[in-house]
Amino acid sequence: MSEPILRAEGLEKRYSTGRSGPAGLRRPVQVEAVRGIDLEIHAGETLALVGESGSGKSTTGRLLLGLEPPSAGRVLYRGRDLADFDRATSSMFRRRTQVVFQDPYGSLNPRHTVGGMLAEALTFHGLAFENDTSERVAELLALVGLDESASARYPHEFSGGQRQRIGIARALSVEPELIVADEPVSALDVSVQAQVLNLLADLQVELGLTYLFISHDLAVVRHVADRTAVMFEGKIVEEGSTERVFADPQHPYTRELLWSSPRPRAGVP
Amino acid sequence: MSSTRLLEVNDLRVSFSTDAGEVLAVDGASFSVGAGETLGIVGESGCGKSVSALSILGLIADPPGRVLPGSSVRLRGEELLTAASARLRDVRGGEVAMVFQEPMTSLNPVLRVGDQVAEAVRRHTELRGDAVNERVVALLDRVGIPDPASRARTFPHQLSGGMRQRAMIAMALAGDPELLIADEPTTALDVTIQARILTLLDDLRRERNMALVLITHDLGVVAQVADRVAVMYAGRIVEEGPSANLFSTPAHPYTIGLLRSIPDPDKPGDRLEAIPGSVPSPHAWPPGCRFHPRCTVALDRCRTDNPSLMQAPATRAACWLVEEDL
Repeated sequence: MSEPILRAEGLEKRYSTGRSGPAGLRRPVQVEAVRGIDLEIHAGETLALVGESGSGKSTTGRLLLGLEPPSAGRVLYRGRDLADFDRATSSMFRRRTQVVFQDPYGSLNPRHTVGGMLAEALTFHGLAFENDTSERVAELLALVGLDESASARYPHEFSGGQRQRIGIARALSVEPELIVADEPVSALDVSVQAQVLNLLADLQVELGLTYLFISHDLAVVRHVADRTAVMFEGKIVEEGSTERVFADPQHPYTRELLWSSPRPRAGVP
Repeated sequence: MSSTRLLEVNDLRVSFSTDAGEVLAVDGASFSVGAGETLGIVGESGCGKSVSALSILGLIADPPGRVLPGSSVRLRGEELLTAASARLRDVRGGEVAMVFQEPMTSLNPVLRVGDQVAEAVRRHTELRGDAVNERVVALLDRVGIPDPASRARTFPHQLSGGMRQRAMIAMALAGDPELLIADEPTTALDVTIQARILTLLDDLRRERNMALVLITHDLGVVAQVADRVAVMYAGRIVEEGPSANLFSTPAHPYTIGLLRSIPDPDKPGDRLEAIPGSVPSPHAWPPGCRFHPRCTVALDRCRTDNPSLMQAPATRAACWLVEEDL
């Protein structure tokens, strides 16, 4: 198998969360968010990280992108340790790996027009000159299914689904190879979720993207992922092809998760 | 009249005055629930499902909200919309109780959990003194809170989300309600906890012959527990019927679209059949059938005429196509 884009080895993350205990005996409390994770993400695939709140899935995503340093273990990008990156490599890595968040509204600057925001990303990363961004902005908007007129409008003028398209356009603006999508459709209405999932699938084919898809929604994960890793209390308790994990779950927690997941009765014409 | 159902809501219309003018959040919703029955009200954000639920107990703040004349909410035949406020206070938490999505905001953070349940017990029963505490512990125990006597002395923030929701349900049960309205009771919870809370609500319904109105955006949740389902879109009920029929033989294009938007486990990776466009805002509800701009099979009359619920093969649906087909 080819060298993975990203590889995590023995990844751990501990946080101190204030102090607790009786007065005089207070100690800092350590929370082990991630407790020893090994993971590989290969070019062109969609790897899903599934788990419930507090399972450590989002922290793992942040560690993999170098947004936080691990307490132990390391992350390798194409064989090279993130911790050893110089400024130039770091900046290149930041550009090649992008995030799409759950709440697009919280991650879009309300004071910038959509066009301004995309242009800023382009010029910041030296992908266009300041006076020469409009063509690429129009291209990006078209890519995510938005009208060119969106360029002059502000984030609050858009619906949730459209805002998520804008968030995706911004991630794409810097020509990434890997996108970490952290609960990208969880905040959207059911009827709009499907549109965004279809868009992500189209973009993957068109641009050859690799996805790390973080989600608590098993139905969505089963639909989009090639491989699935199930997280529970900071560890990966099960990993395999999505087909295998759903058809023949080995770990008791995976089984409980699958059993709990509500599904409408089948039989839609 | 013996055919009176426990709760009958008729032609409910609720408007709100906003900076952008008067909006109709609920526009002519009618539904009913019988004793021991579970009605699921499903819809996406802004469809009016929560406003409908709050209206039942007169919990819409006026102003800015207003339940319009002609609306009717009857509990065992008694009109609640015109009831005296003292009577409504007895009904709330008594015959009709309610649980909400986020228990942390409904529980008082500075009062012990047990004291909050005790307050509800005193308000709605004759019990006093030690008998109150016994009832509190029994209720906490019934909703599945382990070690209920000591948990009664904890504060809400010391409980997990699932345990807080159980405590809310215990409070709701204090007045021995005939009807429990649960507004997105499991939305803030993890799936494994969600399944347990739904099972609890269903068990309680059965053992108390209590009616349950379950309001949710999640079709999966409804499929799991509801006997009957009402689908709301843009302030109106667009389809209604027995749960099994609605999922097997949906008639309204919106219901069909919603069900098709959910990834099919047998066809992973296939393109999803998304509903085009997005949910309209109450400020800009389209004329005619409010779903017509997103509907792929809309007729000319759908743009101008608003369909009422009519008999479809297995449900009742507000769609002109149903009439065409019959």
